[in-house]
Amino acid sequence: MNKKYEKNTIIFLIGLFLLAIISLVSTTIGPVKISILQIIDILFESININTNLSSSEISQAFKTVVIDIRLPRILMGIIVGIALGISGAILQGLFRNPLIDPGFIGVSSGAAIGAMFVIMFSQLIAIENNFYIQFLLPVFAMSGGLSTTILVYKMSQMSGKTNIMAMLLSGIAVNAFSGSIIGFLVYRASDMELRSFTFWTLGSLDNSNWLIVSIAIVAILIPIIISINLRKKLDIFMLGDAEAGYLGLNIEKLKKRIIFISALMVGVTVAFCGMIGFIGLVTPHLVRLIMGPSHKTLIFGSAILGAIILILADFISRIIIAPAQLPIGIITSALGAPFFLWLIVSQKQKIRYEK
Amino acid sequence: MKNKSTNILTVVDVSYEINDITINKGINFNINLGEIVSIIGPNGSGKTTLLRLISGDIVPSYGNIKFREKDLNNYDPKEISTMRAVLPQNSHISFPFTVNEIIQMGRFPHPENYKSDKTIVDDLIKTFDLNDFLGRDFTSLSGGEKQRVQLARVFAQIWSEDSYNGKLLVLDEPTSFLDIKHQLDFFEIINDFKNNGLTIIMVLHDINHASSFSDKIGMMKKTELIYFGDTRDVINSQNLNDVFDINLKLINIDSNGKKLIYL
Repeated sequence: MNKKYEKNTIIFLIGLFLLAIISLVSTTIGPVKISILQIIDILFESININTNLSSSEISQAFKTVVIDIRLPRILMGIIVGIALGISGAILQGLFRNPLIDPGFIGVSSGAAIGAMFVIMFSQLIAIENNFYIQFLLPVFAMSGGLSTTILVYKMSQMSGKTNIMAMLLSGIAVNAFSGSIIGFLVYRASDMELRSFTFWTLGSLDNSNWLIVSIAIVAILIPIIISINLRKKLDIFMLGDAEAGYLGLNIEKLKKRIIFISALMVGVTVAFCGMIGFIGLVTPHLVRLIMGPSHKTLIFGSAILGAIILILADFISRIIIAPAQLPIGIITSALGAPFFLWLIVSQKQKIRYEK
Repeated sequence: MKNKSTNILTVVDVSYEINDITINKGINFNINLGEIVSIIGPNGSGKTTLLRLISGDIVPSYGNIKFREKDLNNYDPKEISTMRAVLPQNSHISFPFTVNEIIQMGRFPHPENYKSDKTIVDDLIKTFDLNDFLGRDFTSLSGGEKQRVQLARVFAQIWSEDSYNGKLLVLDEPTSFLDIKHQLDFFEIINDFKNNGLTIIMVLHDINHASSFSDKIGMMKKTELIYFGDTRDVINSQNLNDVFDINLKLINIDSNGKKLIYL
């Protein structure tokens, strides 16, 4: 079509290539060292193609480690990165504000209440079976997250319209209130419960298995497709509510869709992997710096870059204090927070420039 | 084609109230196809609200508005967006879109056509003297430059290859940030479009501009449209002094009855 279009395609391809390389390298790391060539062999063997690039016999234990432990973890990382990247991009679009994080619609704090509830409740009625906790925690976290989002959305309705400013404020209020509920639960909790909850809030890909990966893929596939379809409408929405309306855009429908698909995407990631901060905030910003503000490139770009950042963070979390591993949320915040500070400073200069 | 009426917009007994405050009261007027109509009046007299009612952004508390003989409420937003474009008073854009991208957004209601869209955008860039700002970040432009980009965008929205018959442009203070040259350019541009059938209603602050470039003028004072009619009938010192609470004189500048304000 034109030069800009070609340039964007090349950037996307480089991004996908980087994601593949980082994922492969990350798969080699762990208590058992497995070479890249061996991993490629194992991957191809699993779809019945014999490559034998490593020209060695690969043990069954290696195959199990790659297929049942490391692969689902990497896939889960990619899914979570995509979900957080896209929801950050579309929510910053909804609020027309680049400093918005998916937490602003209340989904994370609601999910935290749900998670804490399960952690304490399961001890109380003595559910010993780990399976129930693994099953109940995501369900409660997801329900908690969606409930708080619906509450924030309802609070922002004014004579049939969604007031974005009211939504921002009610999001802050609901988060504060959730904080007090969590505070109360934490106060009542035992040391063990407290420890599980703290680890949950730091985020982790540890629980990834094929069942969870399949559920997560099914849950976020439709939101991803819807978000990509919204790309042109979101650009028009950037002109302002009234302006977008005059161009024939149904802005109420658009707002509703953005809120619920991002709540669903963030809800799924929080339910299975706990809280992983800063990716939703930072990723769209980096993509805007590279490719410009248009959602035609922003949504797809944030999906790829979100996945890259998450896989990298997971990679670092596994090597930095090996053989132990650091919760991934610590890494994303440790890298994300300085970037956020830089963002505020550079934005400040820009505001002056914009007068 | 229906040929029975030359009427494009009919406003009947329109009032608008919000939280028991009346902003527009008992407004009646008609606009014919291909007319340029200016609304003038002091601050807070309800001009912008009237434009928002005409644009369908808000719904009248009483009365009704007809656009092309059909009630404004009965239009689908998509359907009306190809026939009527609106420039609000000031728009804020927080993301650094380029000038091209903003103008291109005006084509949103139309089926995508890369080639013809590019021709339209290029043409409007020339028309609004935006050649120097191609690819520039919108947020870095001055107020007047931003206004010209937004004007180009609304013209892109109702762009037509042949006639502008039946198309309406609603502009709220379109010249407020423009320098004198670009103000005059603007009036020349809208006059060209008018000659192709375009109908324009706008709010202006400069009474000389309104009286020089419009066919009809409406004067608003305290929520009401107190005078509406042909420019030469409405513009006189008595009406102006009545509406604006000042003492000004008019001087005749030509034999057609064209008048200029003398301050």
